Amino acid sequence: MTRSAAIVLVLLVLGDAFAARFSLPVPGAALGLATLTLVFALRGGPDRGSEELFDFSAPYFPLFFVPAAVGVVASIDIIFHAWAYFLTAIVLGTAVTLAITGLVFQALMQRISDTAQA
Amino acid sequence: MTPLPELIEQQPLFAVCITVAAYAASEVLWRRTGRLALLNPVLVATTAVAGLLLLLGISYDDYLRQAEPINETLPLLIVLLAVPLCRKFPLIRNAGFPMSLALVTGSVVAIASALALPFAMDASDSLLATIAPKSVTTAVAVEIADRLGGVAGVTAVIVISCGIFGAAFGPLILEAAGVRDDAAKGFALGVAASAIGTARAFQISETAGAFASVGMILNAVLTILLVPVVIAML
Repeated sequence: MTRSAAIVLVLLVLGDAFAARFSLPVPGAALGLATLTLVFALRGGPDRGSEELFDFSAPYFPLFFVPAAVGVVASIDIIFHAWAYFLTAIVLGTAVTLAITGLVFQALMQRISDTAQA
Repeated sequence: MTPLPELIEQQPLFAVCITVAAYAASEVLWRRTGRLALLNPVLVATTAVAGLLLLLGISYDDYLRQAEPINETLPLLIVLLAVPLCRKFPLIRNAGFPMSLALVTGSVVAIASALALPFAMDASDSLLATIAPKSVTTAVAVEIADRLGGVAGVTAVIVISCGIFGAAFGPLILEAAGVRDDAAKGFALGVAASAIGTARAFQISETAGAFASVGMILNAVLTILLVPVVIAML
C-alpha cells in the first residue's frame, strides 16, 4: 500500500509539473489518472496495493471536498450580482442535465440488452 | 495566561480537526435519517464548518491554510480512480454506444441550460463564459472560463455549488425521472455534478462510481471543445 501511495504521489507531482510546463487546460491529476489507467491496462489489472489504497479511501471521498465547499460559503457574495442566472443554472440546469443524461443512457442500454436477448 | 479556547484554535491541526469531526458527525446523521437528501454530509459539514469559522471570527484564508492537506488529498483520489475504472472496464466497454450518445446529449444540455436564461436576457459575454462550463470539474472549468474572458473565481463557486446540489438531490431527481440503472445514475452524476457527483455515486455502488468517473472525464474533454464553439456562435 505504501509503494502504491508513493507511485500515485509521483504521478501527481509529475502530472502537475507537466501540465504547468505546457500550460495544458487539464489538471495534473487527470494526467496521473490516464497514466495509471494505462499502466493497469498493460499489466492486465490494478495491483493489490493500489486496490487496497482505493478501497480504504473511497468511503471518505466526499470529505475531501469540504474545505473547497467552505470557500463557496465564504465567497458567496461574489455571485450576488447575477444571482438569478446562477441559481437557475445550478438548480434547474443540474436537474435537467441529470435527468436527460440518465434517461438517454438507460434507454439505450435497455435497447442493447433487448437486442441481445432477441 | 492564554485562555483554553484560544489555545485550541491555535493548534496547527485545528482546521483539519473541525473538518473531519464535522464530516464524521454529518455522515452519521445522514445514515441515521435514511440518507435524507437535505442532510447530505458535504452540505451539512460545510455549513457547520462555515458557521463555526464565523462564530470564532476565523477567516477562510486562515482556515484553508491549515486545511490544505485535506484539499490536496483530493487529486490523489482522482488518480486512484484508475482502480474502479479498470475493475469495471468490461461493463464500461459494453456501454460504449449508450455512453457516447448520453455524453453528447448531457454535455450540450449542461451548457445550454446554463446559457439559456442569461442569453435570453442579453447578459454580457463575460457572464456567459463564466457560467457555461458549470458542469465540469473545477480545475478544468476555471481554465475554460479564464481563456474565454470569464471570471474564474465565480466559475469555481458555481461548479462547486452544482456539485453539492447534484450530490445532495441528484439521486432523488434521477429516481423521480425513472432512472433505475446504477450505471445510468452514475454516468448522469459524473456529467452533471462532476467530482462531487462522482464521490456521491460511489456511495450508491462501485458501478455507479466507475461510470460517474467516466462521465466526469469525458464531459470535461468535450466541454473544453464545445464551450468556445457555442460562445462564438451566440
